Amino acid sequence: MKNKTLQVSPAKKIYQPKYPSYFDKSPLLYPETRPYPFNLKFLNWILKGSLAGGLLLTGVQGHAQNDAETLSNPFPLSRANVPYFASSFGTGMPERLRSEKALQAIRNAFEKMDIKLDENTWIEQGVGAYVDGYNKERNIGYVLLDGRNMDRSFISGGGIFPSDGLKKPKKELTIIEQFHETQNEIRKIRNVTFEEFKVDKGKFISKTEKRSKTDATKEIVEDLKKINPEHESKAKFNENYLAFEIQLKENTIINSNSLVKKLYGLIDKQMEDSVKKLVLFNHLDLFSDKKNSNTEYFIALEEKIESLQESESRDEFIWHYLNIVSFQQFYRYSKVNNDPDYIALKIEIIESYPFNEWPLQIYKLKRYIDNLSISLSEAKKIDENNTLGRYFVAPISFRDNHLIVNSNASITTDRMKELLREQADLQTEMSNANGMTKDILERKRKEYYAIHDKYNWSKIYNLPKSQRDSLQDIRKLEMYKHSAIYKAMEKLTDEEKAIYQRKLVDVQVKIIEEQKEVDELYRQETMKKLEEEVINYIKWAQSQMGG
Amino acid sequence: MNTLSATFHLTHHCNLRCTYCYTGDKLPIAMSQSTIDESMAFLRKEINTSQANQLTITFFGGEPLIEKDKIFYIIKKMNLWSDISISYRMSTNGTLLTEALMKKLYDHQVFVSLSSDGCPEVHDKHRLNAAGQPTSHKVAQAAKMMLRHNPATNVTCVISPDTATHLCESVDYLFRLGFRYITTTLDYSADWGLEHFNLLKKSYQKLSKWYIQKIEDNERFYLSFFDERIRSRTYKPIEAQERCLLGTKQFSIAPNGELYPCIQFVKTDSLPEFMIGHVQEGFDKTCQSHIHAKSEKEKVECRGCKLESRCSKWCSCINFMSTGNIEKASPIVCYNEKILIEIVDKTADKLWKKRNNHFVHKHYNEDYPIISHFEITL
Repeated sequence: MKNKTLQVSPAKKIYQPKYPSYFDKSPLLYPETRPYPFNLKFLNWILKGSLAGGLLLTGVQGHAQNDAETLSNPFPLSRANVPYFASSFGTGMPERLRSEKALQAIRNAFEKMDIKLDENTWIEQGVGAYVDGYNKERNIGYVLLDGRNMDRSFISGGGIFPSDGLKKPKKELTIIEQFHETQNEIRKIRNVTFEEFKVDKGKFISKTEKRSKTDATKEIVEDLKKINPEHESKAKFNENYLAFEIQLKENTIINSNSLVKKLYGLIDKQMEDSVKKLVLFNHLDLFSDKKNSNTEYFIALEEKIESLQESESRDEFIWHYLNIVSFQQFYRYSKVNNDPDYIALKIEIIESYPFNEWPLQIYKLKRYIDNLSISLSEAKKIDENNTLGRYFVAPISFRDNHLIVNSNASITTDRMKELLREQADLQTEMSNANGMTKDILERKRKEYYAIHDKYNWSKIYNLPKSQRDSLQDIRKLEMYKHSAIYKAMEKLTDEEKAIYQRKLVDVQVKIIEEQKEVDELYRQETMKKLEEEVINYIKWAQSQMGG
Repeated sequence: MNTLSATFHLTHHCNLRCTYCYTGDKLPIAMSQSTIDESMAFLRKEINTSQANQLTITFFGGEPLIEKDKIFYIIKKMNLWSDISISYRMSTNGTLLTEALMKKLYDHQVFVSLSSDGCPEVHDKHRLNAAGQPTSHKVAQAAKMMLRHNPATNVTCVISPDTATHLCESVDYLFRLGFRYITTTLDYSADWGLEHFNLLKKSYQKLSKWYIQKIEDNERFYLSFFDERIRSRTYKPIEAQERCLLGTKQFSIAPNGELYPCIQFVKTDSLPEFMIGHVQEGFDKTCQSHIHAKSEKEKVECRGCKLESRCSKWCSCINFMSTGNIEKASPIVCYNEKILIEIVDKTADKLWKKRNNHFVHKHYNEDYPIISHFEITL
């Protein structure tokens, strides 16, 4: 007997519930109690004209409620599954409808309900954001919350990656402070490197040689070899070390684009201090990815960079250059960089303002992005406005379960049925040809399990190890014998089996190929269901508006 | 309605090795053809004697689908009994189900219930096959198959001490799979400790929020842990004569023809102290009344308990599983009911405070079970 620690004891003090008990008057008799809340599926069935359903409806309840009482909002934010935990890899994640498919389904629903929507409409009432579709007169629309417009407030814990835009180091630093900080870092690294050099010059030289083997770097390494590893040689070492690092940068420039080359040339020309030069060079990577840059933007930036030469001092050059860096870094990885209006705004800033005004002008970009994106609090406000009836904009999140593609639905194609049949027939044909009829296979299976059961671990684990091991050995032997007996009964040669196997593989390849068609059907089905839910939303909204 | 309920344990064999299974060794001992025929003759006699007009036949095991042909044989024979209304049920682990078999069961109007412990990581902790492999994948496939044929399929989910924390996730998983009738039960034979009940309490609190949300969403569903406890307040407590009537109107037939009061007593090794007869000889009235009297005996340890009328301390099978004695109340039931009833009552209070229309109908409208069943199966 188990549960020795627990004892039965009478409950002396209990929570006193308030909901009516069978002693009280039935709540069904209260005047405010509404009729049975038939669900939508049921009502739709009735509306389709089912006589039996109609009888049930009137027979059981007297009358059905009107839609306003029975319909509910299928897209409350509480069911949108936001905020969510961002996952960097999707193992086990269900497939969800892609945005374009979801948008298509939603639009279909509005079309079917004869509601024309204006795209990208600005809404207010405590929100201030663009929604995907809205009809001002009918006060109804929707917004699909997805990667296009959700900001980081939707991600629980802020997400795995640091926020986009200006990268914030550990401390809040201005771009100039970051510049000085990086200089100090380089100096520190240089000191540490000199210590390494002093401790084991040979190892250091060999390590450095491996880093680059161009003529220029080889020359620097030769100079390093001549330096004695003593404190007095530090200045000489520093000079060589920085020259080596700068040379490494130069090596990478050869294959870079014209903008990077131009910036490299300007920095090289303007800066005498090797540390500062190196810090400024470190930002060049930002400009190297031409693929992600719009061509017009790229040209505008390249042209503007010419005016860097007009800087009146080295400090001013640094300041201007760092402003360009900040501008380039701002929301660098965001999809907004594919938005032509956003790019036009950036070009306007580049062309119309001097470098020192760019930090101020960035607010325009921020405002633009803010208008494009929706925060969690704005989504909550949209939801609240839905509830209060200020307007009816369905906040449909890409995390909503309605967007999950149900791959287990009983959907298939005739071709898939045919292929599965073909596969089953082939398997049966092979088994029969092999002499392995259904009865024999059944017997084989039963015998297999009987052996398995006989030596089941749960029965033998309490035995001494030696006894257990010997039983395990006997089990293996019996299994082997069992397998050998049935192997001997097989009629097909290995070659003949291989022919069947090849045929089976051919069918299986076709099944895999056909599965893509079936997957598409799953998506279509999900779209259909999403469309139905949006129609339910519209019906609900209309009932709330008294329509 | 005079109902007789008989459970056919068609075999002791099972293709799974659930860690909490109470039935003993899984041996390929099936009910023989002659025992089946004798069982039916015995039942026919009992129907005549008791003048029952309703018969419920449950196919159980082991895994009953191992002996699927016998199921259809029994149905075919019994369907010839035109003087009585018969309903068929079956409990399965789902792993041997095929589309064709499911269709056949459905066509024969067998109400199939699935055993699944919920989300895969929970299910696979205890429900392994004979080779020690997980079964959740197969069970999920079976679930979908079953729900396609009958959206009102019931699922039974066992909660063990080590899965107590995942109860809500498991219920939600089963709901998302499509189940609308979810029966939850504890593994009463497990070694529960206070620490497990603390975890279970947190799970119930989580489940409470889930329950409220689903009611507010106007979802039709039955969750035994919550609905039965609310029912124990909104409807009068289950009277002695409404209960399972241990071993009188409800009984189990073991593969060898022995008769037992309930499924829990049918094990691979016979339990002579709980045997109430044999299909060849019929009921042993002395044994039957002795066991019934024992089960109805007052539980002195429960005396003065304010939850006595709402708790399931009367279930002899649970008491037997938990304490080894049908006369002694189960401490697991005691701890569970104390925690659960309070949480369920608070849940119901919240919905009542909002005068939630769905809640009112679910728990006070006597037509609700029929209408909601209709809505689910539509």
